[in-house]
Amino acid sequence: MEWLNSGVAPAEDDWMEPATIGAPAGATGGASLEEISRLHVECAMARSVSDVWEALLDAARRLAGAPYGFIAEVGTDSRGEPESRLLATRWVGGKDLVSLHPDTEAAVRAVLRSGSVISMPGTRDPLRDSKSISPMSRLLVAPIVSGRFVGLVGLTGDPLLADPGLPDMLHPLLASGAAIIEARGTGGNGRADLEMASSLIESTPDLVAWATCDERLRYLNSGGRRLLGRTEDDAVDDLELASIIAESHRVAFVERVLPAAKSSGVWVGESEIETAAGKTIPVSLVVIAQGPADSAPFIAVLARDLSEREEVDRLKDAFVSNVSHELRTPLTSMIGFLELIADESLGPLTSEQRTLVGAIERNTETLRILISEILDVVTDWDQSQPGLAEVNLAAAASFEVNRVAFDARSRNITIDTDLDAGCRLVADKHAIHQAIAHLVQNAVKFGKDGGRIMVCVKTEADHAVVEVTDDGIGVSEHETERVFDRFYRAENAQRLEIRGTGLGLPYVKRVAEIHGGSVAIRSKINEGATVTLRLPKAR
Amino acid sequence: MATVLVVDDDRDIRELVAMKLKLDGIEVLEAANGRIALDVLEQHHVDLVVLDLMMPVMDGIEACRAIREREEWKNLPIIMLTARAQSDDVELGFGIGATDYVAKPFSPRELLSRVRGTLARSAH
Repeated sequence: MEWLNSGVAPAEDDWMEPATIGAPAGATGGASLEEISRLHVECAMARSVSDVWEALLDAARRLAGAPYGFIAEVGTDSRGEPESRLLATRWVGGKDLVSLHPDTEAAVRAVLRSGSVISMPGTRDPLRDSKSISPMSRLLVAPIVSGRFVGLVGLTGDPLLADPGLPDMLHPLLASGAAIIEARGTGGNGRADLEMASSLIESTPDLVAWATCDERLRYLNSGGRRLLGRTEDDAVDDLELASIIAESHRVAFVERVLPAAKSSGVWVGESEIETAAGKTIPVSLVVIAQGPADSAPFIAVLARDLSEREEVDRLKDAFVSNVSHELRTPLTSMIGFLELIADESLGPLTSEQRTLVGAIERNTETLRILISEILDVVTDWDQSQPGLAEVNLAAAASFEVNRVAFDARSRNITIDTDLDAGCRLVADKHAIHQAIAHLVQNAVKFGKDGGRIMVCVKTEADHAVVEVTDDGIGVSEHETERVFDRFYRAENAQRLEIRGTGLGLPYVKRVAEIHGGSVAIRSKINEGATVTLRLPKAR
Repeated sequence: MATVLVVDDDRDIRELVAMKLKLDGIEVLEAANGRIALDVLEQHHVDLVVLDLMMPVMDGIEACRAIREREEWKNLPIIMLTARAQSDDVELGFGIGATDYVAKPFSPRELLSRVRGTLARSAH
């Protein structure tokens, strides 16, 4: 009886232990149940405290006996315990009161904590200073939810209470809170909206669950039951919300996801859930907390099965791996044998043969770049985990410059380098090499015959910088952003029919972003271009 | 004279590598997959292995593991040939004991210089 620790413990002899009501067994409607459900919906649709109050009062008048009602605002105290703050009380037919009897206060806390209906013998007056009112025979407290407000209706001396099934009948109303909250946003006819929302929630294959502020599950739709491998008969009530999350993700869920949802209202991301049989399923997860930062009376959870997408990812990876192997193996032979012929290690070439071999070499190189760029695009890294290693930027740049040296020489382009040999950083080595390769290849491709290229590697504060400058065709200033868009080809390059895929700079940008860095281009038409890649040295 | 074992399922690649290395005075042995490579290693002295990653019967990863498991081959230099654009294969290669890697398509010149560099380092 945790609520007894709240410092307002009622005397044991007067108060029965609050009974948390179990799952309903085929609740049947009756006039009184309908009344209360209508009240529930009205309160849920209410936009202000006074609306809630009016609904409560109205219901109280209609209900038999002598009910009373009060409205509390839900919050948490300094220890994070749910706490109610009394907003209004009114005794039907009596005077308004400003505070609750401590025993009633304790009952309210218990209701807030359990989210359930409690029923107790009420030999005491529930209201502190209402001496004129006769003691109650019995008290039934039902929480009625409206955003952050919880209305409670207490019924005294009510013939309804003679019906032992009533608390059970009230229970599904509490469980439909998520649907009610949903319906509240749509306005109009509350009851019809509620039914529509319920049927939607029940027909989706996604998991929809709803929990009270104590993070215990109150509702799980049939899609959720299917995903979690629980039958309609399984009681999900009182299950801890975190228990549906896979064990490997549970700590993160409790320590990060829930607090984030409570502070900003919603958390969207990916996680894993765990079936009753212990199988884990990857899901996209939405956690919605209704209420202000420090008091979230309701937590709605939506989860969509991602197993299929993971399978597609796996197939895509296998495909990329196979295709790149199949494309690169013949290319390796072509480039390799050509090199053996071109460097004349197998015998001297005539000048005519050398020209032809040069043409084949240029074209295989174009093919190599195309294949590599296309594969770069279809390959999506796990962005959170690049393969990290120490990379010597000067060595990488010098290596990549050497690779384009042949092309540069054939067009009389001089490549100057200014490489700070001490410039090292921890990065994805292959990605860095590819990025630098794109920069120097572009410089040669868009440089002018007989021109100059400058490749510079330097350290600026805590950044490693690679800067490649050419004096070629350049791009117009209005295109300096767009050249980083996939498949975009600068007007200049198209006009001059320079081949390319429009994938090089976007790739460089992605490499920069994955490493927490940036890339920018400064250029004017026919005045060359300077591309600067900046990467943080430590992360 | 150094002996290099070239392991690749593509005959042209084996021939290419062999040709380049032989021109530089290196003795070359060939194997079409990891299983054959292990047999060759049993019968011949080898100073360095050039090992392709994707091969039928026994791939490069498996072969690399098997080589490292044997005490006498623990320090045998292995240069991996990878065809993937991603670096995870490279990481995996280093993780199981590859000495260096060369990405396909490679230039024979580049491969030769890696082979020479690795042989020089392992001679110490």
